[in-house]
Amino acid sequence: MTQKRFRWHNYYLSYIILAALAIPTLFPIFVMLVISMKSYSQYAANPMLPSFPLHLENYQVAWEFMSRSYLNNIIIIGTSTIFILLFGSLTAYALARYTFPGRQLIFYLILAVLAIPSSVILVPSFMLVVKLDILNTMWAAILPYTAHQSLVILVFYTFFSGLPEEMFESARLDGAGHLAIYSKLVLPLSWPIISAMGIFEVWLHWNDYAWPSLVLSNPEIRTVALQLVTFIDGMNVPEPGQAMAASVIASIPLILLFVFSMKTFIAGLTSGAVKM
Amino acid sequence: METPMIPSQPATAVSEVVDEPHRWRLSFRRIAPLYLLILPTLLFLLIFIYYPAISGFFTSFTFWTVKGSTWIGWENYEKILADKRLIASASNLLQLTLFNVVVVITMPLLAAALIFHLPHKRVQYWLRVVFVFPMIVPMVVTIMVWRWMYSLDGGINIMLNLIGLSEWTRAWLGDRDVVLYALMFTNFPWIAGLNFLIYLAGLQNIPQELLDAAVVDGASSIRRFFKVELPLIRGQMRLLVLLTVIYWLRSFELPLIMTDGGPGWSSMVPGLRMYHTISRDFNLGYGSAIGMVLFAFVLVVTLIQLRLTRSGEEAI
Repeated sequence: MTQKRFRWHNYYLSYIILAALAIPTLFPIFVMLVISMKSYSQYAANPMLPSFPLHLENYQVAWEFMSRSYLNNIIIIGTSTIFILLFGSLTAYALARYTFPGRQLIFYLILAVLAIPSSVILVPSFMLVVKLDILNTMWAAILPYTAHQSLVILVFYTFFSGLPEEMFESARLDGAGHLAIYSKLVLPLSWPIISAMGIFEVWLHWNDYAWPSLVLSNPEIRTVALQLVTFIDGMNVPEPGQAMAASVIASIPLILLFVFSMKTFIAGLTSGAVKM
Repeated sequence: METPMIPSQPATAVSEVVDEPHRWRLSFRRIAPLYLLILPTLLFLLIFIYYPAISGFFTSFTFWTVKGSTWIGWENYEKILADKRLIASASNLLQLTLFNVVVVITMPLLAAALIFHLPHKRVQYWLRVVFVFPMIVPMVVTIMVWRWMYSLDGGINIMLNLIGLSEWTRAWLGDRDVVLYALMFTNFPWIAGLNFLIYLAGLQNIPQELLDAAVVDGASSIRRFFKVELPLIRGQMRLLVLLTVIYWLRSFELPLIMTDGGPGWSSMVPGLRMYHTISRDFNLGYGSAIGMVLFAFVLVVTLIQLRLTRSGEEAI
């Protein structure tokens, strides 16, 4: 009988523990939202619980500072993600569906990169960017980001290898060239995995801070993450409410992406980050 | 959780390429354009990854200045070994890594196991969303909010005052003795995100018959967890430990944004020191040498990971 107390169908204990874990997990997000709508005096009187009236003008102040960096993020992350998906899927198509001289070597070259995290070549990458004279231009982020496509290639390779050969054969018999097969056959079939990896890349680079902070110091081209830190640590120290409003603004795109494509999002992150 | 999109391990992919008989022998006309398809990828790899990796290796043996560089042999590496503060920062890194390894084999697993055994599918679903959601918040934002938590009038001190422990309050990130622990405590209770999802997927992949058999045998739930479930998700655990080690070896953004290594050097890690060779003292030869040492460590851990995942293929 004593054993029964520990059976899983006494779920009360589970629920209590899970609640004890869930509350502190969400607490920082809760606090961020609450403070972001407080005026300074409301914050001073009661920093952590909601107070009324809500002061949404914090968002106006923060948006004025953050808006430009939104555009930069769209350009930098948009361009590099499109490059990565396009070049990566073309390479994976060639590697997965054909045998040709040098294929193994190329495959090893691509895979070996997985053991070279971008941060350990931080210094020489910086020197390269200086040498190419693209420091303080958006290319300094776009081009190195684009180079890191091994993971995406590996995921695409696995997927493309699983497509039935008969389809490719009949397409070839119909006289289709590589680009026709790629765009009419491969792309439509692998749309789910391509969008999953696309979301993964957006997430990855939206989170990046160290590299942009080195190569994008010009205020005109700062990314959202950089601009947020600049705003909070800047000369004109913002009110806590404004700082938190800027933090919320920096988070919104990824949250929207998550809300509208949760399944793809999770699939992309799981397949991506595990091998990162 | 469905997991079909997880790629097979590189180890398998390679052996597939090597062993598999030629899929399709084609004429030259058909093969030549393939190189064009691969060309962009290859150029980017060679220019932006292999070239820096190799030039970094050579730079690490030089004293580098804007005007030119002088070959100085192993001097940068000797400097690393002789730099007491850098060695101390390596010890910080070791502590952070060990702490996070302990965390990754306990907390996300606890949450995943509890959720896995809940009877209500809807509750399961929503709890999963709760624990995944913070992963969607950009890392910089999370760190900024935690910086506020640690500040003098921030969340931690407010709560301490509330429960009458005012004498414990302090500037958590400004105190040499506690700043490292503050970095560790960040993201408490350390569940949110991928680790949790991987454990949950692992548990969901356990055949139901095994779990039922344990119930029929009268095993208590605690006993069943340790005797049936835990052995079956050892693969995930090993993988996550290695990923955690690699992550901490290569990342320094938490100390960079939170404390910039301070106060003094009390929350410095080698990766951040390397970053500072660019952002502060422009000692790029030395910075390259630190990068090479970090690279060596990452490589060793990656090789261990490849060996282990080859044996536990179905692990994830």
